[in-house]
Amino acid sequence: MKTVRSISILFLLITITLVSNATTTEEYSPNFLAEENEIYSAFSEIDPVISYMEENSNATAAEVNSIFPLASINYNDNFEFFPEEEADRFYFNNQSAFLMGCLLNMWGVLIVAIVNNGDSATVNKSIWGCVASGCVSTGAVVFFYAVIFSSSFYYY
Amino acid sequence: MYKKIVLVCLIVLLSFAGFSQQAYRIKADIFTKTRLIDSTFQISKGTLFYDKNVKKIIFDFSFPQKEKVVLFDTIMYSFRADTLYAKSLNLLIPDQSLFHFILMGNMANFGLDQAHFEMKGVEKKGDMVITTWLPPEFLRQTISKVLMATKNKLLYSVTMLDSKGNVVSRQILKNYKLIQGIDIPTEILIATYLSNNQGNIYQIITMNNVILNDTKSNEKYNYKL
Repeated sequence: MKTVRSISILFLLITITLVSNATTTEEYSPNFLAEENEIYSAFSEIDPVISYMEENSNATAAEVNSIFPLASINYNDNFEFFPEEEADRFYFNNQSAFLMGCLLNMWGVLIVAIVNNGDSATVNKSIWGCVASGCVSTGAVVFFYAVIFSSSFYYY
Repeated sequence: MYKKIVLVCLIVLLSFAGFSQQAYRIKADIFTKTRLIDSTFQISKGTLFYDKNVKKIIFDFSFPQKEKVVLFDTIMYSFRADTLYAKSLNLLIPDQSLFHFILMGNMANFGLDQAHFEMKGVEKKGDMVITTWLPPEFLRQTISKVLMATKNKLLYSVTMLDSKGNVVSRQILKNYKLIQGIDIPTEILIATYLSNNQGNIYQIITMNNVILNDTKSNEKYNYKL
């Protein structure tokens, strides 16, 4: 129990260490209405997004992002409180996932899905990599045959 | 860094409060929105499960992605598709959390008395009663006092001031609902002020469909680790 208390107090210390400074000094006197309004008004920019989500309880991040592309919302919060502890574990980031899709096509997508435990954002990137690679390959073949045909047509 | 601070804000709040009568389980739909200092936003939505006997806080998030976060003892586990995705240090000790205090009915003084804070004075301002708490000696270099405001005998706000008297953190608990004899705040506003004018972080947490003593879905309250 003592350990638990110590941890709680330690946590309080960490909090206070992380934050410091701001509003008034010595003669701080609470103005409750203004304090509430300060917090509410900070979110006025995303009110339409919140309203949409309230009306569409099953809305996905992709859907919300497509409807409100200009809203400055970070959809990638995965609660990595101490990401450095995860440093020794390998994950594909968006770029490397895309590259895997480009180089290994569906195998790349599969590898990214396994390594990243099915993280939809990176898997989608690898699928786009796969699609991009396919388009480039197909385009190259079409271009190649187009050149061959046009040159052979020229001879006859 | 931002994520840390935001989560710490959440933890600060959840580490403090608690309310009246006794129950053993709480379940609620949780919706959080956060504004970071770079003016970007984070939104998350899901369901909370907590059983005071099991002592695991379980967030079953559905937005922005399906993920379960289990806080047990000093470790936070994140699961995606029922597979362990990440594990890290947890500072929100479940039996020191808001949810535990709600269920235990020992809200009294926000747990500050248990953390060896000393009540300095009480003052009435309008319909609010403001209590000033002084921290124990070893904390006074970092925190000078905590102001707790109650309205109609319900906790309304908690304000922390640093050693210079600057407000560093403010939590406001609103929209109390009486559920099975227990007053539970369903809207929680948090403001955190960073040092050296780095900016402010704001967070609003909403709890809906709060259910106490849910007897179904036992496995959801004791997620296997």
